[in-house]
Amino acid sequence: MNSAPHFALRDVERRWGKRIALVGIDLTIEPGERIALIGPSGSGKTTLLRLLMAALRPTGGVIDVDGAALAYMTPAQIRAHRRRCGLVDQDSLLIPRLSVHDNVIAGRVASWPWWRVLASTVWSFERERVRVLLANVGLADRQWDRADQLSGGQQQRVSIARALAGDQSVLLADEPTAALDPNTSAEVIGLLAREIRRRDATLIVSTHRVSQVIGEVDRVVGLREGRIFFDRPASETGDAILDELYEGSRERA
Amino acid sequence: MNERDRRRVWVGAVVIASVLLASWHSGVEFGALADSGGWASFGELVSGLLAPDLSDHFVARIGALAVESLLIGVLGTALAVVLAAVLAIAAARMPAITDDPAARPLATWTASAVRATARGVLAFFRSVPEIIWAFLFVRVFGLGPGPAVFAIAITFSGIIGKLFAELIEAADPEPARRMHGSGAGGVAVFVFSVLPLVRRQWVAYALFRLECAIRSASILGIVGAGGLGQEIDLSMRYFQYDKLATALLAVLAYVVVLELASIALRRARPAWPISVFAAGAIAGAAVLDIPWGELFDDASLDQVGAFLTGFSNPTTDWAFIENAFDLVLVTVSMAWVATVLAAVSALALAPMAAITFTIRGYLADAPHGHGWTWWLFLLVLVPARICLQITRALPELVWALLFIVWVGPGITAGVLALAVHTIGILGRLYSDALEEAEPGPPRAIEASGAGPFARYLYGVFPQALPRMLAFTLFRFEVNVRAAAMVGFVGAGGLGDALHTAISLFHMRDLAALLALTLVVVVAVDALGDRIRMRLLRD
Amino acid sequence: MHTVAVNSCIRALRATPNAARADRSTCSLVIAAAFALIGLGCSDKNDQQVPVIPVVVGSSGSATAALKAKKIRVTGIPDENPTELAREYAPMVELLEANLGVPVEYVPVTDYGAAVQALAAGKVDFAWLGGFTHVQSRNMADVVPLVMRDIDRQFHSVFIASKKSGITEVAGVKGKKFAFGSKSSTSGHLMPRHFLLNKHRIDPDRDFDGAPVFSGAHDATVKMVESGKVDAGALNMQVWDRMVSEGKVDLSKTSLIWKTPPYVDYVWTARAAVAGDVRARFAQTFLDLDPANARHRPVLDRMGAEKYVPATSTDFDAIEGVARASGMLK
Repeated sequence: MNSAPHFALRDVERRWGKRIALVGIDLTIEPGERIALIGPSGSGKTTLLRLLMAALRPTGGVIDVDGAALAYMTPAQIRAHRRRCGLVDQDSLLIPRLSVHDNVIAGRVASWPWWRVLASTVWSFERERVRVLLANVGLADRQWDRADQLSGGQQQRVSIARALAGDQSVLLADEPTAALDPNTSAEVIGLLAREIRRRDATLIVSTHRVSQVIGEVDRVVGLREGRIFFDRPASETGDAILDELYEGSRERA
Repeated sequence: MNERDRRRVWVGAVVIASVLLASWHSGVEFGALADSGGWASFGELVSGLLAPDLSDHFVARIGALAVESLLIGVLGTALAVVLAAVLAIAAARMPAITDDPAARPLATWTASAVRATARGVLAFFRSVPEIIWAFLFVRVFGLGPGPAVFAIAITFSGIIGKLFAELIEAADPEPARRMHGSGAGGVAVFVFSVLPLVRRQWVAYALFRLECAIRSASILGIVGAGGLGQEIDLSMRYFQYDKLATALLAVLAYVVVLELASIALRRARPAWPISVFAAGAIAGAAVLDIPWGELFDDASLDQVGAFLTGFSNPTTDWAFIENAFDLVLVTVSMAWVATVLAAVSALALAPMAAITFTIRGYLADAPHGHGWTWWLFLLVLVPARICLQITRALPELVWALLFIVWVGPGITAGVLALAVHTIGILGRLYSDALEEAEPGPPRAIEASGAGPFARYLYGVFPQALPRMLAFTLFRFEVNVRAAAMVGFVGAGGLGDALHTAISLFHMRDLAALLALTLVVVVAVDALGDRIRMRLLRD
Repeated sequence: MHTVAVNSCIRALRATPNAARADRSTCSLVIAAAFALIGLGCSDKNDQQVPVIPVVVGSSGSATAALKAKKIRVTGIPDENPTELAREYAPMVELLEANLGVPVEYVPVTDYGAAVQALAAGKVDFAWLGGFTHVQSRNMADVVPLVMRDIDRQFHSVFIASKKSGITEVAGVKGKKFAFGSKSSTSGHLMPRHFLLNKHRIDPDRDFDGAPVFSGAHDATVKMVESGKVDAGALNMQVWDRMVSEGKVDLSKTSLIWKTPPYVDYVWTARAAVAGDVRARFAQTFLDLDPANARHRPVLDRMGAEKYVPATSTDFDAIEGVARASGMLK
């Protein structure tokens, strides 16, 4: 198991042309912390998650991972960092034609040598491991079904298994339940939290379903118009501050 | 072993076994590429290519031949479109008109007989490769551009006519039904209620085929039918590699310019390409020395008579027929081995040539490290694209002649020629399919730190697979026909037998061979259509 | 369409390579190409102004067609490369024009069958054919053999092998790669096949390494053997002798292994529809060739002959028998 990294962001900024997505972000994330990222649409949640997994370059400021600046890493170091991060997106991004097994393996291949990747197209490796991963999300019996035979909630659960298939120590979840109905959503969030606790991994989850998430995290970061609006322990995040954060928008659930 | 693995291993085994079987049956020896004689010939070829003949006299001649090829292609297509329209109208079943229950039985019977004949003619025209038509026409009309124009007109009318007829049948029948109901005749119904519906598609398809025809026109000279091909044939046969190099470079330039022009014209308003097409056809008719007068004179009609006599009385020599069936198998085997080889190579080249996959990546503006995209660009993308461009640009026949120099005449040269040309075609189609894949899955995989292999095999490849398979299958069908074509210049198979039959005036054998070619091409097409439909529905 | 001025300008340009050599840019290349084509178009037009044979009606044409046309067309099987053929036919055409008093045009073809078909369809009046192609033509149309070279009565094929292959006698070609010339060639295919099968019991369709290769022409066969692309091959003896004497064969790489028994080969063949006196004058032109005459000498040397002799139809009956037996004539 990889050990969870320590993130330190100093005065991080991200622009798309003239439009500012994030500005003046100072944030420290300790290994094993569970953080909820909340805020109205367009407040910069997705951008922040992508910056953390080195899928996006900041246009200003410094991102340190375990004390080393991302900007000065070699391609190999960047890939090594990405391998520690699992991503669960709003859309499960499964490949419909492939089996559930292969979709989970897709989250695992990053740490395989190229010949093993090639061989895996005709031979299924690590069946037992995948079966356990799927059992953890309650889908052990669906390993060999095609991904498009699963329901939306089941697909999202597969994508959680995929995100953790390579022993990732950070899970970045970008509105993982936005496409699901409230009941399924609660179920998926619970599962996510359980898997994270089991691994002592870091969780950073962005969501609009604040009430479902708040009980599962240590800390809540509120973003508004690209800036950090508040950053406080989950226990101190009351309705008043949430109302203020979501003022003028009706997205909060 | 689970079902997935079993299926994949099984499919893999069947493909490998079939390729081995086909190689064994057709007698391909890829070792010939590397034996000392082969290398020596290859060295001579390369040294010739490095020092092309650029004397003014020869360059001017090549230039003139290139223009001649262009005009042959344009004029040939113009004739083909006219012929195709006529045949398509005869072959198509217009739902509103033909299923008239009130029609007299004789009329219905005549209509379906006409349709069947037109369909048969279309199938025959397109299943016989243009090089064979050209060879036959050179016999009748002598050397020059005329035979090439007629050969293109015949072959492409078969190809274009088939699609024209399909478009007529797919058109909305309602306007035609209404017009027919009001008592209008067949011609009026077609002109006023069907033609307007299919006109745009007809024009688009004719222009698409125009490009193919112009490309094809550059090589028909191999049998003496004018254009660039005649220089290629002569310089090849007499080992004049400097002249060959110039001619090949001319073909390459010709095809590249053609492609650029067609891209430019596709972007222009539709009136442009049509005007260029028409102007080219008029220029071709004015400049080229076409024996119009001899088209229907007694000598030509005698030839047609001799040809048809052979058909009414095909050979009954059982040994010959048995041998011909074997040649059919050899030809299909050649096409299969070549297609699989090409598909495997294209699988490797296509992602290298796909810009999103190679350079841009699926993560927009991600930190990559320092300046390595330029290296990727220079060392991977550019070579891969050049490789695909060249293999695609030179027609199968030219590759066949080159490989005949390299490995000597025979099946091996034919298979290599088909394979190399198909790499270019499939590589391009594959890389388009990869570019069009949903970016989500590869993005997720790239973000998980995976390398190019994982990104390709787990991100884009599974998405693009059905389309890639469909393309491959389609190319296999094309290659069956092309295998008969390369055989014609000495690369074995059915084409070789066709060449012998024509060379020695064995008209009855020729009839049997052409009939067999027709059956094979139509059968492989029909089979391919079915499998493709299943693949794409999935 | 094309003005005379443009045309003559092009002619001038093509005639003086220096004018074009001045500028070697791509631009001039394109222009030269376009102009050369226009030139081609013009010359095509000009050709059409000269009356071509007015009766192109196959074997039943009017007997005086050629004379009325004031033009005679000849062709020959393309058994060697076009440059060589042009060199062979140019002096003959000149001689014929002088003796017949009408323009004579040499119509080049790229395939043996095309020469046969052109004669049979009346597109040419005379054709220099091989034994087998002559037999083909007489089975397709009404033709008469006129004259042949002295050597054609006792013609031979030679079998050659590359030194590398280690073949020293014909029996050695079994199991090796073998090249014939054109499929329709008498001395490059039909007779070598016949002798292989009947004298040496080697079946060309079965006993070689792979199917036999057809190089297309005699000199191409030599090139294939010399380069080692095939181990052995068979060709026309006269072409071989000439290539050896002109130093066009590398004898350190290739050697002669066998000379076949004699048979009858090449012949000038006329359409029967050509007027008798024209045929007679055509034949006489060749029969009159005298090695002592300085103007005739080069023509005869080129053809490898001392003199021409009359040919008769029965001369080719033996060839026809061989062709039928081998299945090449059906």
